[in-house]
Amino acid sequence: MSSAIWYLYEIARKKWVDRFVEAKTEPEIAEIPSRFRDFPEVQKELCISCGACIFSCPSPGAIKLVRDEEEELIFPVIDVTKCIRCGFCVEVCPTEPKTLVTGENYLIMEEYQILPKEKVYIADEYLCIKCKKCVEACNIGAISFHNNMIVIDQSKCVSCGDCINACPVKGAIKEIFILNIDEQKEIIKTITKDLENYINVEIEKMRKEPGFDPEKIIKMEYPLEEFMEMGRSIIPNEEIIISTLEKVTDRLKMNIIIWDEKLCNNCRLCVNECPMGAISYDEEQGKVRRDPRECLRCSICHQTCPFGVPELYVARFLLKDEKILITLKPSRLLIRD
Amino acid sequence: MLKDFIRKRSIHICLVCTGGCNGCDIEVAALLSQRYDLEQYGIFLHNNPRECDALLVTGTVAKQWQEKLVEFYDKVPEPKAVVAIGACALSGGIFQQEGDKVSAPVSDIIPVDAEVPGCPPRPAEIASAVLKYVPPALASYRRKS
Repeated sequence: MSSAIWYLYEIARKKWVDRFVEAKTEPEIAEIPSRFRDFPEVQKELCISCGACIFSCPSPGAIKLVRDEEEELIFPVIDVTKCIRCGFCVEVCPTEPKTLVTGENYLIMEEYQILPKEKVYIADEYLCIKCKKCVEACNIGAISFHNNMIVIDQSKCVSCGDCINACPVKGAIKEIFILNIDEQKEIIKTITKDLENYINVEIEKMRKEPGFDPEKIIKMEYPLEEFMEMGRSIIPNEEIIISTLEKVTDRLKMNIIIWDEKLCNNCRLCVNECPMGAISYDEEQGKVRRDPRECLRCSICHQTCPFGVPELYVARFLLKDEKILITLKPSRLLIRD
Repeated sequence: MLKDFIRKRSIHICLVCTGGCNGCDIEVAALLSQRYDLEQYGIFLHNNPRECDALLVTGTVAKQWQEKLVEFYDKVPEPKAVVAIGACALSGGIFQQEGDKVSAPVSDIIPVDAEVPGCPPRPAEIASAVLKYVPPALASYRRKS
């Protein structure tokens, strides 16, 4: 009897009643956490119908691309009974924002990269002499010698540049700026155009001077100040411009054709030989004309012409002290008889 | 009448795995743990089909299970309900490939009242599906026969 009274007393206490009334399931049990990958939701209008989600899906027939005739949309449809909620389709979806949406997932996104890098170092297989100096120079062991090749582990590399300083061959280890590749392409395009125009103008000037010998090596300098001002409007970082220019000038070899109309006898041998149709015969004036914009600089006209009208020069470049040094060498191609 | 009223509040279930990866069975086992505490919701797990009201079917139906599952279903006393759990039971899941001898889905073999998609479904999803769909299924079963 006394125990029953004690129980009644215990149950009647306010604290016990409050706890009994306010009892709730823990939210962790009842609610689905945000990280949970539920069945992906489809946002129809974003789909580009690339089919990447279908290829990534491990469950047969869980995703199908459906064409809606009325709305003229193609979009993925997920069969809930077959979907295994792996979320691979969401990972591979290339649209921005994603067509398929699921819980917050653990993709390695760009902003989560451990080392934010703007430079990547790559060993050039062709130029490398396998001296292994870079392997010794690397302080963190990102470079290894494997299968007779220098391999740089990009996940370890911290872009310090010690390997480039240690490398005895210029260009065997390349420093590539990865953040603005399109802008670099534009710089390369403009500098090659500028250089060619400059050479053509300079050579026209030189030929007018007395004592011009076409067999001799021609040297000229291209001042970079003007170009740098233009380049800064494309990429504000001067270091990137200089390194891009250096890569260009180290590699670039340009064929230059100089058309000397005085020597031309209008034999029209070159007209049919030109693969681009850049050389034409003007019947009214009775003259052979060359369109430099169409020209490929293939040197066929140079080899065909019996009078030496098209002179072919090979230009090479070197970047030094904010100038590009240009060397023009007359070509030694055989001239057809 | 009284039996119906009581049956809605205390559902006895029996788990049948018809061939699969056992992932869904583990999720059902997780329901029994303290975290979800299945019996608190009035659901009791039996091992004997003769004592249960509802069958929980998991797994893609393997060749040997095709006839046995029908036998199993016949043993359950009326009224009865069936809950298919997981992608395998609903469509064959990753086992439904060319050259495989599975006869999924379960609904081709025995009538299914509720479906829980997922591979595996969350324990909470299983419990809520059982609580939501089994009592009306049991009630309507009476009317059918």
